[in-house]
Amino acid sequence: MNIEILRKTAPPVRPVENINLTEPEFFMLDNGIPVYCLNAGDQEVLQLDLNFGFGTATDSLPLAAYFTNLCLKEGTKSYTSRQIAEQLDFYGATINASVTRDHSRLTLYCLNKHLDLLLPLLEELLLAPTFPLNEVKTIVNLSKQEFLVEMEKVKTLARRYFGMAIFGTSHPYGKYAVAEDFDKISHESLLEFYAEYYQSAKFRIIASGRIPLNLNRLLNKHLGQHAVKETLSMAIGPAEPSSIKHHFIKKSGSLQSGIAIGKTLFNLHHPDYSKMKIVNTIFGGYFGSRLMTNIREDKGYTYGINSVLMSMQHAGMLMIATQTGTEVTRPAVNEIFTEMERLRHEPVPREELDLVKNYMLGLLLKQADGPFAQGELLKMVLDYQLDLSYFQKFINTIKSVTIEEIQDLAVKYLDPNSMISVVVGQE
Amino acid sequence: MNYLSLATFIYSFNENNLMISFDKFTLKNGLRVVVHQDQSTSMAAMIVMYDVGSRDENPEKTGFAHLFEHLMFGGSANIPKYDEPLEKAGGINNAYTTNDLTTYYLSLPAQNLETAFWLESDRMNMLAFSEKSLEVQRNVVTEEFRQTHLNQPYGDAWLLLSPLAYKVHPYQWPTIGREISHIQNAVMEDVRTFYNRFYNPNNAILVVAGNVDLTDVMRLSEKWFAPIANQGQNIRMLPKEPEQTEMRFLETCRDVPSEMIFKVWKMCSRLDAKYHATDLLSDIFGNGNSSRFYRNLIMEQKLFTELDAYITGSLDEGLFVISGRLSPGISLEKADHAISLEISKLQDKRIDDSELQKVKNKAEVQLTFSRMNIINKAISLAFGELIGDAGLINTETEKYQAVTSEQILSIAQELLTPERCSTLYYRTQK
Repeated sequence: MNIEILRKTAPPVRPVENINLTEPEFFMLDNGIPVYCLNAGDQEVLQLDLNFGFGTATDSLPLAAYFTNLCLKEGTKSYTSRQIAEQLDFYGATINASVTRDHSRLTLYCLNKHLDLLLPLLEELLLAPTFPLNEVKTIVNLSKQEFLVEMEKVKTLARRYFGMAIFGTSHPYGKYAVAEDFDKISHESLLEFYAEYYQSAKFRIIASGRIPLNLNRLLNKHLGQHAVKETLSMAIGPAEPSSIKHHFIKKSGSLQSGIAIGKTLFNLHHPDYSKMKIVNTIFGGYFGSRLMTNIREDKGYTYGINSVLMSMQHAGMLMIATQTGTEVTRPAVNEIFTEMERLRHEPVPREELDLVKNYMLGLLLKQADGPFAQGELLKMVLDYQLDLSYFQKFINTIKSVTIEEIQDLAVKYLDPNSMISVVVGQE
Repeated sequence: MNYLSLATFIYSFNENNLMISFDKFTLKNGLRVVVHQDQSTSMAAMIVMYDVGSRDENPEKTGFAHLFEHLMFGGSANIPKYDEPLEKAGGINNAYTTNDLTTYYLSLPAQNLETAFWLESDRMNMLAFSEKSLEVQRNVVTEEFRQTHLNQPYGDAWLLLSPLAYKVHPYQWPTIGREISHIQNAVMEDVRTFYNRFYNPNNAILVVAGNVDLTDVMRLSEKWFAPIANQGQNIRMLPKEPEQTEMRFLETCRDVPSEMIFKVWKMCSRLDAKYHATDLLSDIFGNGNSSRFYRNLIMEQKLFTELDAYITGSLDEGLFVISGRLSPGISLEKADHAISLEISKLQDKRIDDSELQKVKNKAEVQLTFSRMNIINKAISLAFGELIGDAGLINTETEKYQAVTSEQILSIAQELLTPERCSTLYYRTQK
């Protein structure tokens, strides 16, 4: 057939039927620390992820959790900050420190043949950090300057005010550090946080990549001999959202406004979570979403807009975020609410739902592609005491969800009157 | 030091470097096709890299290559919305434009590979040229301009630096464009002209990677891309930037939380034999927490809260860049002087073998990690082919390993001289 005729019809597509996730190998170190191994991939690399069950929500002193984690690399009994950096760089290895509301992480990336040389270093960071005065002060100051730059961005500001508004500023998920908090961090406060949380923390290890045969022995030698105990899960009360629905924070001289709209919602344990993920994808979760199609691709108000459904240990939230020219901020906000109403009042067309289903299955296939990616999926379910069967159920939910269910959930959770909106910029 | 002491332990990694295998062929219309088969993934990736970037723009119509990239998603002759069929096939995509080139990339479940061929060939064959799409994307790109270059602290730094460093060559404007009005003034005739000139099979590289079969790719390339007409050779004639012989200086004053300094030197092109040594030189200054800048100027002397050194890697004469944010209370002059002292150290004395080996190892590991991702691998192959040979992906490590400390010394001496430097002081409003 002539090619110009062929071009008129899309080639047939087959949706993803199944996703093969590698079942992790599990073992326990002598001290009870659990280790999950994902042996996959063709490059001789390894990711070793140490997960701790505490984060910034735990802080009694703001930023203590953050800087304790960050400064583990800044000096130990046997190594100075410079020596640690030299050793890591020499092997091309990295140790990423990261802290969220609920978790702290240390992640080592290296060529797997260097693991035996790097584990003694990791052991030192974890078991014998000294938080040297001078380094702590310098690191805190670097972060403070970075923070001050961030605080000039309407995107950052909108998200902060949004978090405060939906959770309330006294809630562990609604408190945010201010510039003065940086000045209160000291050598002593980090030692204190370390002693209380890290010293005997029972963390969890996920190893992914090309797993060396002696991993069990190596980990046991370096991370399996000290005494550990479970991190106590802290009690977190309900959110206390602001009674004001629309917040406007002026930032003079802005060419754009930062917008954040949404509410608190449930986490991954809730029976509606998986289906709500699908609703959110239709609404603002991919390039072809309602929000992108209307506000970017039809009206050109923004470079990008998205909506996320976020799960935390003790709560969840829905947030729509964008930046728009100040002259179109008001119409953009109105369109966001119009799109909520449209999903609530009109059934989603069959074709659109089918497209989203295929898209989400394809995305999941991509998110499971490669050992590091699978490690991230595993981490996500382990954080909620679930296993990989969660994804099989999620696939089934995607395949089976109906038009009616989508509309019911939109009616239930996307009521514009239940939303809090924050605009930072010029009016 | 201790048992992990490095000085006595020079170590090279390249003994078990894995090669990336590929096949390539050229269609009759001049489209070059590179295929990388990787059965360890269930995905396929497709890259279409066009040999056009912001350096090919009319100086009065800058930002056009990037605006055009947006228009490539506004529909083609047979496909009203590019994204929809791809999403339906479970795929995702994006694109980017640089000074030198424009890259469109996608990945999707390997079983739906033909959808990618259909999509990419249709927009190479005939774009839809819709007035509505042009109008909307002018606005979207205007918002992008504001978001990334105006409404951010230091966002306009490159709008100031590029014309300071380049007086003749089109690298004197950033990819986003010289000013918003250039984007607002774009008309349909510009769009057509640009498309006809640059979006041709003989001006593009196609890479297909992942869980694909070579004979399938050959058949599909023949079916979907081969019928697209060759529009004739595009000849690029760009003015050569003359040698800089005078120190250039600019300062600006803005409402920002702390002061910044930018210093740039024009360096060799990406294709030059000195490229890898120059890259490593920048790593010695600024890559990682053991680098000279981080240890000496951030942690010890506390002059900066951030200080980077990197190269742009451009296909014509690129830039060697040093940029940093100052600690409160430190003057720009003092900070500038401290950078000069660090430069002098590298001009006075050959670096130790262990320091050189460190940056080589780091470069190698970074290359290895970048190959964990099928899209990255495919983009590297496309870029290699664009500059001469997809196989360059397999010789990069060797080239880094071959760099000597003598080369580093001589590049530091020849390149980083005051009279070839352009400096920008970004001051805070008092």
